[in-house]
Amino acid sequence: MRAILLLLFVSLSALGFPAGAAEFGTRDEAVAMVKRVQVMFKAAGAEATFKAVSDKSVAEFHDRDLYPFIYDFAGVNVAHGARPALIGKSLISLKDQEGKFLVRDMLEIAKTQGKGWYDYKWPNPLNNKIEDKSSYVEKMGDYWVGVGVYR
Amino acid sequence: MNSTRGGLRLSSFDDLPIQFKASLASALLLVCLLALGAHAYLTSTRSAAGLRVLSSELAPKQQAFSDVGGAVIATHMKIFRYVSWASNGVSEKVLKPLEDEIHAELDASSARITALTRRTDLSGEERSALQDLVAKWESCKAQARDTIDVGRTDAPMATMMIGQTDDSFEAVDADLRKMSQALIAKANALQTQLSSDAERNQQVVVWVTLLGLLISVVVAIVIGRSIVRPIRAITDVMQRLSAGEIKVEMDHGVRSDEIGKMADAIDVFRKNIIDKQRVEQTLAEAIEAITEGFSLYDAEDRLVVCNSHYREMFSYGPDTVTPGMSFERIVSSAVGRVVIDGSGDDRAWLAQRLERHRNPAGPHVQHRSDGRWIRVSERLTAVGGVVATYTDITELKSREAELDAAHAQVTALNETLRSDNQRMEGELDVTRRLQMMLLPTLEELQQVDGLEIACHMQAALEVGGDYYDVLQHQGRIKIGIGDVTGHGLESGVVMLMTQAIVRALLTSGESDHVRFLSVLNAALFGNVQRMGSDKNLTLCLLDYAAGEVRVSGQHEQVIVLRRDGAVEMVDTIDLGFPIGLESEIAAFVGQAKVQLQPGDGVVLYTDGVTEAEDMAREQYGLQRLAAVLKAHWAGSAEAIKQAVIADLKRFIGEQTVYDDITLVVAKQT
Repeated sequence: MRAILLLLFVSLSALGFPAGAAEFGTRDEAVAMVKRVQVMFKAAGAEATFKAVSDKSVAEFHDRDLYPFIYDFAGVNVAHGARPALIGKSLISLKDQEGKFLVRDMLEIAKTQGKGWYDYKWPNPLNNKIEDKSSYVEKMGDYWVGVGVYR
Repeated sequence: MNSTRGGLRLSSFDDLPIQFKASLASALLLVCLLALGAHAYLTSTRSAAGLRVLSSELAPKQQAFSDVGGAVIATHMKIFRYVSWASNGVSEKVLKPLEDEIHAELDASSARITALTRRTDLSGEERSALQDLVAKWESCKAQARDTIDVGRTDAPMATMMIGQTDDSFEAVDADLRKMSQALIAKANALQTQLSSDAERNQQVVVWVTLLGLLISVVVAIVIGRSIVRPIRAITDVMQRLSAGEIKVEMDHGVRSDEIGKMADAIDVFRKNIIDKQRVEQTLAEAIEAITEGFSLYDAEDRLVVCNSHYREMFSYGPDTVTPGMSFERIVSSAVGRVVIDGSGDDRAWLAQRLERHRNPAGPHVQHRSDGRWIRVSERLTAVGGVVATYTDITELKSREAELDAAHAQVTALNETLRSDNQRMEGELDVTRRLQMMLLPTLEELQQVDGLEIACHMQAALEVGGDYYDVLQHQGRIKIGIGDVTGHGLESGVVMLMTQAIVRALLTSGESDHVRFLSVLNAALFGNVQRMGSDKNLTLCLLDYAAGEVRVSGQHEQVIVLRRDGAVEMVDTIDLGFPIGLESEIAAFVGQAKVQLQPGDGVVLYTDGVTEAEDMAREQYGLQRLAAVLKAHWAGSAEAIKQAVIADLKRFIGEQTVYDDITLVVAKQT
């Protein structure tokens, strides 16, 4: 059962990816990754999705500087594609260098609008520098998921 | 103010008792003190409470908040250091102790905050603020731990997370600072209040003290005026009184407080002094009025009071007897200057006199050298003093001597008289016997022709002064009745002489009634003169012959009774004169004639019958005699005589018989 599901998942992901098109992921690619997380969340459930998202070896959710992040509506991170140290941490009060409460604001977008874009600063996993980032977030059951691009 | 009366009263306030005034003054001062004390107590209590709050509540609490804040900041700095070190690739070996330190400090801070929430001195506001803080701290702690946790593996992310850690730490720190500042503000406010309280307290103390001072002064003046001034007036009055001035008038009876009562008491005292002076004056006058010398010595034997008689008796030379002198000194001076009793031994006399004075017994007599006799009567008084009277009995003494002499004379005379009397008694007895011997015998009376005669004679004394006789010579019958003045020997002798002279004249044949009485008078007068006596007598002579009675001589009325009981009186006033009183009486002699029928008769009597008195001193009287005679006239002369005598004796009863009683009844046969 699990094998079948994995297989299906892999085939789906292969269909949707234009692999190695550019150095940084695009906004569309970010939205597409959110959709893939949504698909898996529906198909495999929360636990499996969280595990896959947090596992850097899963290429489907780790593409160059693109990675998904999932939070619940309390602001607690439940899965992170780039920084596993954050899993289980409440980041509702997290601020970027400009003082934006990014988690709280994106949570609000997901909660009220269901989906949307949000700009903030975040360390780039590729060079660990704080860069401008735009993330796309969507509501996903009791959680919300986002994937961002560095500009 | 009632100053016009010039007295003790100043206002109605003065009527209040001094005690009340003093109490009022004390009460006012007490109120001031109490107000002051109460204010000080309240202020200091408040200050103490404030200081206690400051020192034991606010300061430690603020310190605790401040300490927690400090610790939190220190931990925050360490977290920052940790992330900084982690970002710079410091080795795990160095980071690990810092991480452990941070965790320990977080736990310590949690414990401290928990301790803060458990404090009992928290206000409601603080408690709710602390609850908020606890929540904030918990999230802060969680974020700190998250940051450390992340920092261990992901330094850039930890750097990213420093922002939120800063916020939460700052929030916690801000809260703590806010609470601490609130406490500081509270403490400052309290301090300000305490200092302003102290300032105000100072002012209150100053003002209340001044007020108390003012009240004291006012009360002192008011009460002083209402007490001191009248007391000064009273003191003045008392000084004048003690100086002997008693005409001190006081406006008393107006005040009703203690001073009024004091004034009343002084007035009573003043009146008592006046009374006492009056009594002393009266006493002095009374003592002075005593005709004897008077002295009173006190228990110490000092002279208290004496009168001028006493002073005169004991004042010799320059030493005047004055109150306060001792008895011994007064008597000693008397011994020195006047010899008393003439015994010669002055010292012995003085000792005896002092002993007598100290233990008075009966009165004693002093014979002074100036001839005076003084009787001294001393007596102890109830309080141990001696009161004495000195009576000048010189006159008494001389009278006593006179009396003694007179008594001796009388005694001698008495002796003489007693022997004389014995002799005279013998003589009188003889005279009486002679007198009785010479009265007519019963036989003689029965031999009288034509007349039935009964006689009675009773003398008041041994020898009476009455005379009666019935003589018969040669056919002539002569009846005589008389009354010599007085009784006793002389009267008896005069009666005997009269009888002898009458018989002699009758025997000589003298028939003329004038000559008969004249000779009788002359003979008797001569004898009475020789006797040196003043005796005389009334005498009535009746000559009876052949039914005719001739009456001559002055005596009582002759009662004539007829046979039928009719009574006639023959007055003899004009028939003669008292015999033996004058030498010649012939001119006075007269004669009355009475014719008697058989059964008629005459009754002769002396005034001893008619003037006899009964118990009520009523006289028997001629009327009663006549009535008795008339009632019994039918009987014999003897029976008639006995009836009269019996009636007379009944009449006299127990009364004394003062005069001789003689009755002669002659009835014609």
